[in-house]
Amino acid sequence: MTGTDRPPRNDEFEVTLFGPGYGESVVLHVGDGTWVIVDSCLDADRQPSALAYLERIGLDPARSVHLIVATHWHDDHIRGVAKLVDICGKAAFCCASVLCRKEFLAAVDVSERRHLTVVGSGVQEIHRVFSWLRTESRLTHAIADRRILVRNRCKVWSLSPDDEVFGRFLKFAGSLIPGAGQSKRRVPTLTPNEAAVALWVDAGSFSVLLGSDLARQGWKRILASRERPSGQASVFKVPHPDRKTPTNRRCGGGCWFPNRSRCSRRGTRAAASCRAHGTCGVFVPVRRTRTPRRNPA
Amino acid sequence: MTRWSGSNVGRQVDVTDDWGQSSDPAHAGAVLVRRADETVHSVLARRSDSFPEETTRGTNVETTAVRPAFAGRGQLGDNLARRIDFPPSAAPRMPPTTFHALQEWEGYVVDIGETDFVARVVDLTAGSEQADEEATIPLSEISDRDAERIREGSIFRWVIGYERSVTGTKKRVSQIVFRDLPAITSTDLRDADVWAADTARAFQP
Repeated sequence: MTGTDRPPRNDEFEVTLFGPGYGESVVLHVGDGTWVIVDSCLDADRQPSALAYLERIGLDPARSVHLIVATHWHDDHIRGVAKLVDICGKAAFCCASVLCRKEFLAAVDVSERRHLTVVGSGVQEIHRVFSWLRTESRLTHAIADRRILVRNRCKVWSLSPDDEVFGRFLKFAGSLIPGAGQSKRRVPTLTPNEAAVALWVDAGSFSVLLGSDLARQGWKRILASRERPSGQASVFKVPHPDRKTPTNRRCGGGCWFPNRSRCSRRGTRAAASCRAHGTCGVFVPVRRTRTPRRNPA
Repeated sequence: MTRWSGSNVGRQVDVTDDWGQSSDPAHAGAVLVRRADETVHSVLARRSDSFPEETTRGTNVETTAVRPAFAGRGQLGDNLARRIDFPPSAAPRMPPTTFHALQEWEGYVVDIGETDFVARVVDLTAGSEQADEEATIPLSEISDRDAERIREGSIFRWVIGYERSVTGTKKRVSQIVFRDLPAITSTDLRDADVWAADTARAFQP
């Protein structure tokens, strides 16, 4: 399915997914010309797909994008995010608050200060972004059950990570710092990925649940939370399969529409518009899904 | 002091010593030439491990310096030291084994199992900069030394190509070499700590 070349109307809510596999980057129009970019991937021209899309429909990313969220630092979700932050000068940048702790930052810096390999690194992108943002007040911290954007009728919540993950992550970050004399290596990924930021986008009658790469344990804690926003998601962006979590493999990634068996083109009110970037591959919603449990509170 | 020197171009004998100074120059020259000839033959004949010698190999000349033990045999004076430069061996050099790379990747380890490891790889041949491919590689493919040091995040080069031996034999080669990146220094750690502290302070809500 290919996208159209005109921007959505102010009263239209639009979800657009990009990426070679599972929809690694998500672009949301939350109404009134406000855009949110969640994660980033590159197109065939090595440009962030989200930027290319916004420019293609005639928008200026520097003025239209109000929030950029880096849900975690895996390569496939963060390629080009430094360029996004650079171009979208008006947008706030949001990442898990635990990534801004000194322990993790030290590990990032010692690993990525002199990058000597062809292989890019998600941590390298994070390092670049943080180096810029030190002098700007554009950083927003994501943590469980925090509202990170309010724009007219639309609210964006971060659902994770929670305090329990915080301590475990700092311990992991400490293990990343090599001792003097040890050779450099690439910062390994966090497994299971409990520190990823899952998002809830509430647009009134329409809600989107973006699963990032959050591992199963993280979802359990979200479901157990009494502080999270309640509701039934109209669209669920499924987390990636995790190599070390076999139970997630059957999900296969993608996007689930509880109320629709197929994605619809933009223009249908209160429905998701699933667009695929021509050079990034076609994204197809795969099946219906269970919806998050309603909050008993 | 007597020195003989040779070169690739042709044998040149350069002799300076104290014997010939009071003799008839022609006669002295003949004697020196004879002695030089004897010495060369003697060196060649006696060259064995029993004589201390120092040998250095250059790009095209082999030089042998023989110590005065040689002269102790009475053929030459005790105060005689020699250096004889032989021309290089006429044996032709063997052509080296050639390698033609067909495909090259750079990768990093993401998971290590009992018998194999999983890596994300960048296709360097295609000029890619993204680790788009994932490979499961048997640990038997890498050297024992690398197998001991492999860790999550280790970076390696993987080359597949053809190797042509001196006899013309062509064989397919897959070679994985783990890269030794520079070691972390105490300065790196100190700088990182300062950067992290400053950044964390700047990001405090």
